Amino acid sequence: MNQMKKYLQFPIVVILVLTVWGCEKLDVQDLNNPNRASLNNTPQDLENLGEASYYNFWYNSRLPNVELPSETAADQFTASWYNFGWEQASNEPRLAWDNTVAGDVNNDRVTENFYYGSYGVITQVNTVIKKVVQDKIKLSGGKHNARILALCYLIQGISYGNLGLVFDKAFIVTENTKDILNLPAVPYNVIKDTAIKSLLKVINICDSSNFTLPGRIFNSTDVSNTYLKQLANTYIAKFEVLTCRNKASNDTVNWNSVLQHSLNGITSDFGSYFDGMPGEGGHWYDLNLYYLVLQGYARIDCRIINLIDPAYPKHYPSNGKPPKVHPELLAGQADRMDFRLYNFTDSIKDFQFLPSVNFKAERGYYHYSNYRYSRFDSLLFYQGTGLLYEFRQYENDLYQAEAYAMTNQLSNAIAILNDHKKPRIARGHLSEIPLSALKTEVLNAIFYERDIELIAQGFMLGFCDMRRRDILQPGTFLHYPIPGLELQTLNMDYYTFGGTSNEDGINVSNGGWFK
Amino acid sequence: MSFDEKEIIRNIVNKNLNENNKPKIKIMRKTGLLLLIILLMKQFTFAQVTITGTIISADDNLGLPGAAVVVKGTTTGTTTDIDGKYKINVPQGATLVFSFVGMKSQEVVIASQTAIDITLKSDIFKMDEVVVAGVASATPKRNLSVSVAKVDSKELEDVPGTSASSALQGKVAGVVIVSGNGNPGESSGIRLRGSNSLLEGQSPLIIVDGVMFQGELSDINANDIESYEVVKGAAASALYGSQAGSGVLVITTRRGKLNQDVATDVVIRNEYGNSSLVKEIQLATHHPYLLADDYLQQPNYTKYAGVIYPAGYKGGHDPNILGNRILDYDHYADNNYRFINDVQKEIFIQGNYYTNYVSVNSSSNKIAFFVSGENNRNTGIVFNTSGSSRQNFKINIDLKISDKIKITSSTLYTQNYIDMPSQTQGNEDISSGGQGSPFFSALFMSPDINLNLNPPDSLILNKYYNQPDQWSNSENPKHALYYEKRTQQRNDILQNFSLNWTPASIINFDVSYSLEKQNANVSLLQPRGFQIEATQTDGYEYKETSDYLSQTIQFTSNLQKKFGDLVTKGKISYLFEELEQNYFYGSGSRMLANGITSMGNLSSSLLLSSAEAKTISKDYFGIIDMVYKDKYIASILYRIDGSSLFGADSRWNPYYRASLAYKLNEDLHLKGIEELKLHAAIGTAGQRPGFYYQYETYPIIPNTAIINAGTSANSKLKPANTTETEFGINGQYRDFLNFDLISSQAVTSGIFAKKNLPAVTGFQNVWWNAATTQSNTWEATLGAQLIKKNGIDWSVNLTFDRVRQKVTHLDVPSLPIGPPINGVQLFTLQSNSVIGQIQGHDWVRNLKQMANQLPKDGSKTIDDYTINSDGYVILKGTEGTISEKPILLENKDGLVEDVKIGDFNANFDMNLFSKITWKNFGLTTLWVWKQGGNIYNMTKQWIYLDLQSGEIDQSGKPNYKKKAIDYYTTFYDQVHLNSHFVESGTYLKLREISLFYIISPNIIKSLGVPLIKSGRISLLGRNLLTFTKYTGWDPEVGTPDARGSGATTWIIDMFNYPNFRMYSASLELTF
Repeated sequence: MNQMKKYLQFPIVVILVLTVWGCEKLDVQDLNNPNRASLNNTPQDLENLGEASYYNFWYNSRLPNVELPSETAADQFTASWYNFGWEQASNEPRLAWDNTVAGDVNNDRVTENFYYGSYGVITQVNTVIKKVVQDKIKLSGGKHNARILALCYLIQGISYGNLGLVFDKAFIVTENTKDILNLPAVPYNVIKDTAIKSLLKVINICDSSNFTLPGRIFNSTDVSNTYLKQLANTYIAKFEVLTCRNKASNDTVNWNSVLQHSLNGITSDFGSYFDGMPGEGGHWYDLNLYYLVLQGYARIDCRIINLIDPAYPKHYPSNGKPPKVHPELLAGQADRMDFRLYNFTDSIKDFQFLPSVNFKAERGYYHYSNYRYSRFDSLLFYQGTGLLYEFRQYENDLYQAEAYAMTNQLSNAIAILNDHKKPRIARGHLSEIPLSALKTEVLNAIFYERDIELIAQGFMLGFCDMRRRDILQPGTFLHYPIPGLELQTLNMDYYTFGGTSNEDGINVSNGGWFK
Repeated sequence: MSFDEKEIIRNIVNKNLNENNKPKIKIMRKTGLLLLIILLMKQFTFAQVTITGTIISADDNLGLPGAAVVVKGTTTGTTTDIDGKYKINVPQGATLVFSFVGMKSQEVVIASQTAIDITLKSDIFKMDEVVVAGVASATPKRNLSVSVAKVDSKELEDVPGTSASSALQGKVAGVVIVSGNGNPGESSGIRLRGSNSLLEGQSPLIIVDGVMFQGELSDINANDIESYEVVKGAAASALYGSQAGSGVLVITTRRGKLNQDVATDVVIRNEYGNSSLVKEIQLATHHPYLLADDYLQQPNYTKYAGVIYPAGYKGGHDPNILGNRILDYDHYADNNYRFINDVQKEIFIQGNYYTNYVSVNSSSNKIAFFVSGENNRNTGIVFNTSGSSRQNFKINIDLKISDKIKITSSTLYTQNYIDMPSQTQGNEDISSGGQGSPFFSALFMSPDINLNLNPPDSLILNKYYNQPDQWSNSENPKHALYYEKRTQQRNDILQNFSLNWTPASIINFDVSYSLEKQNANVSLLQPRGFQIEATQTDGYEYKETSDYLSQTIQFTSNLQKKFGDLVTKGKISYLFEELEQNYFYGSGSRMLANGITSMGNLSSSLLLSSAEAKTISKDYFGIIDMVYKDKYIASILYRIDGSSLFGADSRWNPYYRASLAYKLNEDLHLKGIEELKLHAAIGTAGQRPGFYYQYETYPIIPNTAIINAGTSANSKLKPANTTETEFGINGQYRDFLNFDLISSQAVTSGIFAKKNLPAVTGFQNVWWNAATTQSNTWEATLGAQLIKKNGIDWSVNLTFDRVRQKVTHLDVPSLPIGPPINGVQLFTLQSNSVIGQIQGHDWVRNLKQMANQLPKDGSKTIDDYTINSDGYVILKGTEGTISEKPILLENKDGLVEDVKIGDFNANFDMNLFSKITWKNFGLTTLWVWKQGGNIYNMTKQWIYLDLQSGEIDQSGKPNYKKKAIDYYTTFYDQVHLNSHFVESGTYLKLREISLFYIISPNIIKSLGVPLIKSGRISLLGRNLLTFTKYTGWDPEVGTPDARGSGATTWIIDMFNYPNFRMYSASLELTF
């Protein structure tokens, strides 16, 4: 045994040597992803996080999301494809939205992505706000506190505002929330109020400080405190109006408030310069817009074309034969039509005529259309440069016009529509609206502009405009349920909206534009 | 660990201790010095005698070249020459051991003989064969108390696998190897027994010559392999700790043999063959659209009613085509196309296969080396892709510094260049198939489409118009195959250096250092003008490179001692592992100079990113194997692993094993029974978490300013732990029959799953030890020598296994699982789900089901429904009309939900290997039978979308049997998994066949050919015959999961590169 002991000394020594030699600790850092601690390491890191929150917001709203099925549900666009819930949302008769986890997956996670993404953005700005306000961290020695706080409250506000547009209810978590795991879901109008509260904070900060947010944050020009205040006002106007689920609630909107905020709203377009698709190394792109306009994907719904050209049917002929209306037949009448559809002299035209359709015939000819939206072709497909809009001034103008109309100041509303520098006449070459026009005519002209000029621009615009006029097709959901995955995670009961047997005018449309 | 030769010799030493040299034991109890003196005395005091003789094989009565003659208990020995003759000096009274691989060894005590001729018999069932994996030291199979199977070069040489990945297929019970697709260069999926992991892949830990291998087995040639040792189940693999929950596969390559006379063998082997698609998928050749009355007058396209074509139209997308195709009134796909092309013939070509292999094996008393090189080409069968081009270089050197010190080194360099079919989606994914692959676009093509149509002059690239079909968005598979270059290049260096010091026969020490350095480059190049759907791009390039460096240092102390009738062998070991991974990729577009591959040629902003990870682990273990009276066998081991991959609060985790075996026949002495052993074992092994699992992450989306909360931290994250119990019995009846029957049950707890977090936390999820699974396996092996007379030798080996596996506990509501198809994991698991069960929509198939889901508005009664000719419930009176629709099954709340619609798990797998030899001829066959288990034919489901499946074609059916396309497209169901596309996965396949002729030394001699010692000519076939009802290309199909394994579990056909058949001929010459 002594011999054994002697030899055993050897391995013990070697193991000790090796253990020392391989004495690296078992703690290894993840150098690829920051964590909360590393993000808050320095005020500069925190400031970077705050600045980055705008791109995070942008990215979340531009990835394929609820915008896409909402466009076909609102008969702005049409597609027979199942992608993004397009077909499901526009099926005739309307179906209930499939809110199962599997259903969301089949619909390319359009509700899930937007829902979780929004809270990702909100968490990011909450973190920054909390550090700056509660922990009194000084950004760039305190010089940048106001601008970062204003930006973060803006993003907090528009994130909640958008959640309120989309979902029937959601959760509110802010920089002050203590117990995040026991929050109740609150209805959309409470979400909207939260949004407006945050946006009012933006206005307060902008009123009390002068600053400039560098253009790199938005991939655009610099944003001053004055412009940021305008933006906050514009968003307040939008959320006050678009959060309505039906005409009744639209009629009870505080239109004076809308008017005031829109009057204080933006005076130039707000957006980001497109810099290429993701595969091309781009960052500032809009996949919702891209898939709506990409050849072979969605087309413009006949309803939209019919608004401009009543000769084109609202509904595609049920025998599948193409309507006998196309540009050649109307060439001689071009000056009488909206230039955005029929224009043979320059490139203003927003809609491209396609003589044949390759949609799925067996899914219904009602999905067919001979037009696609071509307004952004040169930008998206031919390496052009230009803005992808987050908020167009014209959208703000139209809230203003609508607020004037709803508060019976028709002449002011008409003045906006008849402004020769604004798209209705500048691009559409439409004739002026007479001052004698009735309120309904003025409102129709406003909604025409929103449908034609603002189509596919402005988050959920077409869908929200339709629901607040009670003209979504019967059975169309008026909002989306909390995504099935979240229901599962929180152990909440499954629910959904939509379907012709559930029409109640509250959650599901009982109106329609074509019966 | 690679112990092979030195372990074998050590084993012989052990035998010496075990059996009949008791005086020596006493000596061993003295001090080391005394031992040394006595050993030296033993060496020099006995008189030396010279023994000569011949070793003959009982099989053919010919001399056995290369057989070993070793003085028992020493390292002194020699080998026989080409005629089987030997000459050796030995001390009188010593014992000589005569052995040869695959033969039963014999021992002879030297008295006064000077000539000893020996006839060695085949060890048909290899009970003498030693195993080194999973045990304390080299142990003959007859003395194993756990399940370690071994496949040696003899079993591999008849039909050498195209790579190390496929060579083991069908040879071992309980080993499921699925070649999920035929993409050359892609490794097969391997699973040992059940699935002990959900998201981490099922692959076992693979060790090649002592190196823990992370590369692709398809990069290693099969000719170099000396043996596979398959350590199945946690009980056997406990020795390997936290990486061995899915078992271990130990691959040992050939090497020279020390302690022998100088001898050099050179082997040259060449194989050449060709490959082709086994069968085509049946596609529709008719459509449901109205034809123009004069459609026959158009030679170039199918002219539809109601459509106005521009003058000179020859096919393809044309913006001037006016009008739409209109469905015929009956919606039956029974209208003619103008002509029919066979798209599959355009895409699948006849490929070729060749391999050139040379090895040099040289041995002497002091140094032995093995050097080999292989050049292998497997083009595959897809148009304009060159498949895999692989080179291997191997050098194994063994040095005897002194009788006590030996150094061994093993080095393998592999490179594989793979030119793959294009895949416009998921370019970073190295596997082939799926949406965007040429298989997808080919099967979406209407048969009247001319794939060779040139595009309009306005397009830059002038061949293979990407939009050859006006009526579909489908892309021309030839466009991408012709213009897109998608390649992967892999290089891998594996090295192991070991030093063994044997100061005394009871103890020795090993120090070994292993290294694996791996590099893989993926690249994708689309030239300017390349079309994606209708868009003409301005060029795109993607490049990715990943590096992997793994280093281990291990120190082992091997001990052996005999206490009376108890023989003990043990080892204690320390293992330090360090692994570094680096990954970098870049992509960009807008090529300045078309086709130039430098990324500097891209003018748009580049998308760049990189990642790096480091892992450190320290493992300590000890094992003791005991044999008492050569009858009772036991093994116990304990191991503790610490790893940086474990959460900070769970850094160290223990593993153990205890096993027992009882050699029953040592007591019963049943006549004819040569072996009968019962064994039982319990042991644990683990699965390490992925690098990111424990951390709180705010991932940065590459090249954006987005920092989004990702996973929440889990400092308590532990490795998953598999506890396996197994029972077995094995035995041998004379030289006729051998059997092995094993039952194992494995329970794996703490399996990793992502637990979703509420959105308000900001985090998406957290990695959690969330699941427990259980798998039960029965496996059996039956070997028999059916005929052995008149020169005919026919032996068969039958393997059988049956695996059942389920989730017994799940700490999350449901878990998405399975391969991501278009980025989505299609399967979900709940508690008590079978792993491998298919969940999806089902259709109402009987009136009882229908009665439970009648419309709530009372508009229909059960009398309004009937069952159609396909067995689905439909509305009465709709059969054959456009209103005939199958109905989705609803739950009691009226919701359509996923239910169990199938199960991928086979009822059983059975493989039959047969070998018949007569004189110098031989015939081997390997039949593979998979009984039961389903295939999910997603390929078929997708092509229902564009009415291309042959099932939709109604031509040739009597009118009363026809169905409208509306009926069939209902089954498409938004590509949601549904029971209509669940098919039987049963098949019987002749996987390998080989007819060979051995050119024996006598023939060479009689022919008077110089230099050549022996040879072998073979005709080989792989995948020649398949019997199945499966309607896809090949029932052997599977889609790997995110970790690249799992083709064994997820039997999904999603436009996978089809497995193909191969014929070849080979000539092997030994010089």
